[in-house]
Amino acid sequence: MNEAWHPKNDGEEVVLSPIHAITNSDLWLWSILAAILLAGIVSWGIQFFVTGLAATGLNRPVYWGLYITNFVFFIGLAHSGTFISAILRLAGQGWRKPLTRAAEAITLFSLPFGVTSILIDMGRPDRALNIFIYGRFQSPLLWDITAVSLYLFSSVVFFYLSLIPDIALCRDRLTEVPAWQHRMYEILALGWTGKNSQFERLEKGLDGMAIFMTMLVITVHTVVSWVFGMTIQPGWHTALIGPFFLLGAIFSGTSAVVIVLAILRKTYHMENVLPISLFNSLRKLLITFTLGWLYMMIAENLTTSYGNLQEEMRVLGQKTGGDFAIMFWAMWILVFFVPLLIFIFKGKDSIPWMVGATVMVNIGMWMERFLVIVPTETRPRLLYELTKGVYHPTLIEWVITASLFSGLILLYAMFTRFFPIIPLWETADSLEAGENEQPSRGFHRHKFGETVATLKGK
Amino acid sequence: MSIQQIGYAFVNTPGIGGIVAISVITTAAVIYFFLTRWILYGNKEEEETSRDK
Repeated sequence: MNEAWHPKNDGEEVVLSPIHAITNSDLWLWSILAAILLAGIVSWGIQFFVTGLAATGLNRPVYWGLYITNFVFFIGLAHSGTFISAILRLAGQGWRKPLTRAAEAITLFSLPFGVTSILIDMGRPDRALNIFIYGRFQSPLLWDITAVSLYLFSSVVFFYLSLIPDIALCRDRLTEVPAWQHRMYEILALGWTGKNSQFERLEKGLDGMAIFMTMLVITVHTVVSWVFGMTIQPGWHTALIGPFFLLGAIFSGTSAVVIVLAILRKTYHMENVLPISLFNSLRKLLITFTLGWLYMMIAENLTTSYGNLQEEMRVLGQKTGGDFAIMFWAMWILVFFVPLLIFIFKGKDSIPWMVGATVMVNIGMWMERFLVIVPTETRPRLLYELTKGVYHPTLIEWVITASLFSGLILLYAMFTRFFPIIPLWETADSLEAGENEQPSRGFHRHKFGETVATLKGK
Repeated sequence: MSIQQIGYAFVNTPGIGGIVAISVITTAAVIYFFLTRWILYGNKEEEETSRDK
């Protein structure tokens, strides 16, 4: 096969180096993660074949617990990729380029686990098909299925399209990899030749998709929140729930990007490719999101408490001084107080501080999802007089939760060993062809000036 | 049948929602297929112009 033309990138060697060999450390890490994933599959098998949902702490009236918390969290985490890639792309933020793929990969690998969480939560997962057979558009669940499926599908396409030039680069440069791996690159590259016109069309296509993805990302998490918001339960039935979910999703997603970038930078020695200035740019965004989260929290809780409706106050009381008080105040510390102080006073030019703060944010945001869902169910409208709900997650639920996170990390870790995690063509520092990089025979000579203008104009 | 009744029937009839959901995904699949093909190969005119050069 003729070799395609590839834009010159000084960081190429560093970015491709993780793909050359799978180390023993990798195998150990993958084995441990796979073992945890397997434990989760076994636990789910027990839940599905032996005990049913009795294996969980779910009961009447607490029908949703850890699994739905995980669903909301994973979908939220998935917003990182679209935010970094699509929204910042439209905003013309050129600094985002090195981290787009790392962020998009979080999206790509989080979404399947979000969808899986719903199926795990169903005692009879086969009944998911009923949504398509008997679905009525009256039901927010159908909106949810439609939006999340479309988002997953579109994210795969968006991710794949921007990956094609780099897969072609792997196809042409990595000749020493196993034959099956090289064959995989050949198939996935779809015959990419690196023509000038291809790059132009790719840019146009991604720009167009970025607009659509931006609309989709707003729709998806709003619709996820409406699964709760369209009920008339206290704590859920508020118009703020959509924007609040969306902000929280982008907040936790962007925090996850910081963690992933720091790990990649350290593990694969990408200090030059992922400069500290990227972390400083993300730090500014995170300060904004932290303050946005505070605004939403105050707006929601002040409105609720000022109205002093009996049902609402029971749920608020559960959070601030009841069964969930410790978790509620811990969430405030983890999501707001400590991270904000770190971002402002310690985060600049310090990756360890940034990682510490963003880990806290993600733990806190998982707690926030839990606190949105469960306290309302323990004090539901009307039923409250009959029963006070209690929920204690079981070991099976915790094991399955751990396995979902392990699965996400496993897929991500494996991906970085087979594909460039930094988009080489988007971060190309020079598009001038060297003597040895002339387009192969049969390909048309490129108008490099145009390509430079197209690519550098972004 | 008034528009209101049609709207009511649309959101309440079992099965229609499922058809809409599947249609949305299928439409997206078709659009993405052609988008990918266009990025890789362009349209006919572009290919011919390219060949002339």
